[in-house]
Amino acid sequence: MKSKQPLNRAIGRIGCAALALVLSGCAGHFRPKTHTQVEPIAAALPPPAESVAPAGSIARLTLPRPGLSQSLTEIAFDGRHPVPSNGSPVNVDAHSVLFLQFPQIVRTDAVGSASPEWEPIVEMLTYFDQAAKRMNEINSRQPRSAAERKQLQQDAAAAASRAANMVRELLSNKSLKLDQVEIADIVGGLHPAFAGANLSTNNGYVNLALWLNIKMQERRDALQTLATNQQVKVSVQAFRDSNGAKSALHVDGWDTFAEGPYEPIDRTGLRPTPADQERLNAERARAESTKELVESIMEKDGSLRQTLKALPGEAEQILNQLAGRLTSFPSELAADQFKTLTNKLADLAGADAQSPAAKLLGELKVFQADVVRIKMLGDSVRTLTNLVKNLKQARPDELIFGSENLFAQAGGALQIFIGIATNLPTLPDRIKRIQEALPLVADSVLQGQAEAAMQSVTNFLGAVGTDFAEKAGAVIEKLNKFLGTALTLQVTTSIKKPEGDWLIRTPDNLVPGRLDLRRSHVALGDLVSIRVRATNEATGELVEPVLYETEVGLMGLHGKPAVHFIMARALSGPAQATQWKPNVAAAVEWHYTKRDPHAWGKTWNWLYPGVGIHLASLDQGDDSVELGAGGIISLWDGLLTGGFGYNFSNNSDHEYVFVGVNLLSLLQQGKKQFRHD
Amino acid sequence: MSETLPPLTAEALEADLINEEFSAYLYIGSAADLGWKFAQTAFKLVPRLRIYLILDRVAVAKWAGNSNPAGIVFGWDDKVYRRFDKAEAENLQLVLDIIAEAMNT
Repeated sequence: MKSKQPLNRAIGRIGCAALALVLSGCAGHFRPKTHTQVEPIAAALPPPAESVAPAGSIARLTLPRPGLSQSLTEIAFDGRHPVPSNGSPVNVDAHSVLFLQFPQIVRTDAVGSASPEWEPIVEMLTYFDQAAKRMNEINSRQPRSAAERKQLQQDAAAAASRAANMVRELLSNKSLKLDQVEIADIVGGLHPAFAGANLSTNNGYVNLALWLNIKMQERRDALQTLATNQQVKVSVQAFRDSNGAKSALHVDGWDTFAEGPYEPIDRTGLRPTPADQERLNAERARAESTKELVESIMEKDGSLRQTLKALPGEAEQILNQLAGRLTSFPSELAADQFKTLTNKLADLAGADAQSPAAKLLGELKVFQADVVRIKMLGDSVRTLTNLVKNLKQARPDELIFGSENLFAQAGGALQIFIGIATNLPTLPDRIKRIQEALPLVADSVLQGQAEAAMQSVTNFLGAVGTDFAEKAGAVIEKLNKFLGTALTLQVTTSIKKPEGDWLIRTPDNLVPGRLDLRRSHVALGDLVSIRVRATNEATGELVEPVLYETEVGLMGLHGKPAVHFIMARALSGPAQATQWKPNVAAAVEWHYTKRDPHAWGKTWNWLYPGVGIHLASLDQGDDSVELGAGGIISLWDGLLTGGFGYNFSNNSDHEYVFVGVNLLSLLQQGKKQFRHD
Repeated sequence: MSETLPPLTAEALEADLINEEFSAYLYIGSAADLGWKFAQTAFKLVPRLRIYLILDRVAVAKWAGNSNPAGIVFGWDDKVYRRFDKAEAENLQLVLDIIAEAMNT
């Protein structure tokens, strides 16, 4: 039986129907999601001249899953710039407005102009359509000469090569999860998805197109369900992270917070906003206390030097005691144990958020987080103990400037310790509440499992003793004193939230969100994040967890005020003047940031070089107050600075030089290093 | 075109093989075999390809050689291009690659 059926019309109908499905599926606020793209497999055989191969479409082909469509755009003085989601923070200009949209996708009225996510599918449908037509055409030929026969053989051979390559790419596309038998079932019309479909008996490309069509229909239905599901709740929340302090920001349309006053950051760097002034105050406080700390360290037999020798020893002793007690915590208290419990409670609770099971589930989830914290506490105690040992052994200059960056590491480790230790005293109350809630859930097996999980923690709490908080507090106090306020960032366990609340919307009621950075009390270097979450409240499924992260800066040429801790000396004069001494300098530096940098531009932005002027307090003569001024250069946003200046005091030697570090940046680098470790 | 031997005769098969307007793939086994399923897949993806299910191995002894093959690939004439053992015939990618090679030769 030769393949002579006229399929072109049928294929055309399928192609049109498929496209219509794509187009209608794209409408609304939802879009298909694609995953990582893969390079197409190279053809095993040379492609024919008239190739209609999918040109990598199969490699890019993914079957979409329903998701919320949204995009964030920075509307800046120099144009509109898309902000990528779920990636590293990108720089945005402090004068910009961040605009969140839930776009309607309408560019889908013809092949080639569909939305990008759908293009590989549209290309594949087109390819299947052309391949089916080509196969029918070649099969229907009746050559009348040797030349026509030769041409027929060449065309058929080319089609065979394309078929082999198509199957190779279908198999290598991991997201499709197709094996050889499944491909054979699709081509042969035997796939379970084909129930009741009008199949071709001799043209596999028709069946492939039909399969893709059916899969798309399934996705379209899912998108439609999601778009109309009132159980799906969407929220948009924005936060500012400034020097370790986190606060919620107002987003128009998505919360009831009041809009802040209009405070654009001055591009010259000469008129700091209140938010930037806070940053400068923090930098100044840290620079000054570090100056005092270093002065004390440099003093021979100074009191602080004695303290430095003694305090870590005491802290180490207490930490060792705590570490010994923490070993009683069972390491086998695994996530599986809680998973079984919480799954069962979720089943019992159903959709009733007020049921005893739902309440117990909430308590148990927090309890589980506490258990994780206890395990982290063990790690942080061990880290701190090791760091304290190193602090004792290191020279003062190594503490701050050494490659190990011990001060910064210890500061980071201490903050984690504080964060966990301050939460621990709430555990006994939580256990009590869980024990009271258990009898209300009428499931004896579950009650037994919950009791067993809590027993280990109860035992642990008994072992660490009632004086845990006191002991932890002593460590915190001693290390804090030792490290100095210069190197410990403010520990914030809660988020500062303005008066008002966030709004929750359903998918049919999404509105654009607008965050005006000029009214958000942001300072240069702040991290501003926007979180979009869509949760199906009926199933608990998190449909859309999207995070946009930005770092506030200024694009183009701009000035930035800063306060630096410096080590300065006069270029000539008596030993008192030429000795390196700790001081503080205030500066205004001018930088240039490239928008959308490439190659060397990225390196330039990474270096963030600055040139400016400074005013320094000095200690090179006998005057009670010594001031100097001059030039300054900086790299890595002031992480490293250097400069020269003129001392205005009544000394004979006026010229001086200095080097310095921005300890705030240094500490943040240290914290990152600690986290990575 | 998909045919089964028998009822097709060896003579009719030979006549088909010398037809330069078609290439051919013989699968020697039963209709329930995975190898035959893949032969049918190839038929539905490759134009001008004829496939044959050979139930009587003796009838194709002329092309089978001594290796007791499960599949035999022909180009545009009756010369054997490649013989497959059972495992090879149950590899769809290999079957398609070799058929394409035979047709391009």
